[in-house]
Amino acid sequence: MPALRPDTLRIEPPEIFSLNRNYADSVDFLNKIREETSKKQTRRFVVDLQTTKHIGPAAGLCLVAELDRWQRINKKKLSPLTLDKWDLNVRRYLFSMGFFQLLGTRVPVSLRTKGDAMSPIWLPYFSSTIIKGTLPKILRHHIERQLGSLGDLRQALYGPLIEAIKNAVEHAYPDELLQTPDSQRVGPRWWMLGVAQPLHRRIRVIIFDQGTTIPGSLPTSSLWEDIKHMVLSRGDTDRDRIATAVQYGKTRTGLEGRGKGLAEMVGLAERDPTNHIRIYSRSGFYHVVGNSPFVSEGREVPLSGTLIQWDLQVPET
Amino acid sequence: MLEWDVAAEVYEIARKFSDTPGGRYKRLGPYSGEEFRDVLVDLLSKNEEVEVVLDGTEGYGSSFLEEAFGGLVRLKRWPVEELGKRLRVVARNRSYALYADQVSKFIKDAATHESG
Repeated sequence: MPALRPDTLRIEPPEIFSLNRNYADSVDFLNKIREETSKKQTRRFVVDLQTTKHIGPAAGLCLVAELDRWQRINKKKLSPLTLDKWDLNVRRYLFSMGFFQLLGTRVPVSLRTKGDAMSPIWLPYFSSTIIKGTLPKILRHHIERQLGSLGDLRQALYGPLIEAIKNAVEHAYPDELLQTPDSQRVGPRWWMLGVAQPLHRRIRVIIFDQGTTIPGSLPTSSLWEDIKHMVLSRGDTDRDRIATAVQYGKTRTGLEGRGKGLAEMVGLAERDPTNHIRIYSRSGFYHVVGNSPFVSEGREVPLSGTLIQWDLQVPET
Repeated sequence: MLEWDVAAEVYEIARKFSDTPGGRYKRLGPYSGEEFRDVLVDLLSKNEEVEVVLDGTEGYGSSFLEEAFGGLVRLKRWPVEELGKRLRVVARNRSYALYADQVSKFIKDAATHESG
């Protein structure tokens, strides 16, 4: 790496940069970037990816979101300094998801590598500040190019994706969060990534927003009056708030279908016993496998936003 | 007196509105439930009977369907009984039947709430 100025802050992701496998260190790293981005006068800083030997898609998407945020606020492009020293797989995954396009960096052909047939394929990520059904449709096309027709999963996937995007745009960013000029440059933004594993006919779809989180937004939501007793009786931790909001949506058919979106997202996991949905929001984690009962946990390091991740089996058609 | 069979106006959402329906409100993005509710109002204002075909889209989020059909009830422009006679929401393919069921529930829930 070129010599850095002495006042340069170096932020390094962990060797295993993954929300599933190394949550605390990975989120701590992401939070450090957010902290620097949020400062009135940002220091010169370097995000050094040389040390990372494994990157998970959720972590990759969060990294994209943080750097996207920094670039929009600072109206500058970041550039990778030591691309040739990055782990081959880390560079390949980031390349295929569009990371370098975000930075405006041209990756030399000599540094572009292909994965083997076992490797998951990271598809180009999407981002927007509105609900745009064409984007899940394009994602579906990308997935089907790798796996063939999704069959019934095509429609089953669309509704939960639209609801997740809707929650980000409509609920995750209350007006007070969008008051500052910095926030206005980013807007009520969401990021979405798909990963295909043709060999196993599995897909992973992830949606992330940097908003006020599910536990953070519940007390000011229209649901709160209906669910606060349930939440308080459970202990009123972040994990309780997420679990209660999902539970409420499952039993809800009434007024304007409010709160149903989360239940619809979780319902997608129930289509196959090997499906997963994971929801990370602030310090809460909610996990369902197939039809099994949910597991919810607290996390010491809070995620600055909400991340929803589905792992789905694609039926043979 | 002659009775005329009134042919229902058939409206295929995927062909005439969008194959990628959006969220609940217009201000949050294109092809929202609110936008489609306006289409329904227009169709019902101009036609005795309207048949809405759900097939052919990528799918639907519940917010879209609720705002379009539950929202139509909340507008109170037509009594629910009248809507029941003049508006048919159909799924020709089995894979869209669950959305037709959702629409029925949203209309019923909105009517229950309005009368309650």
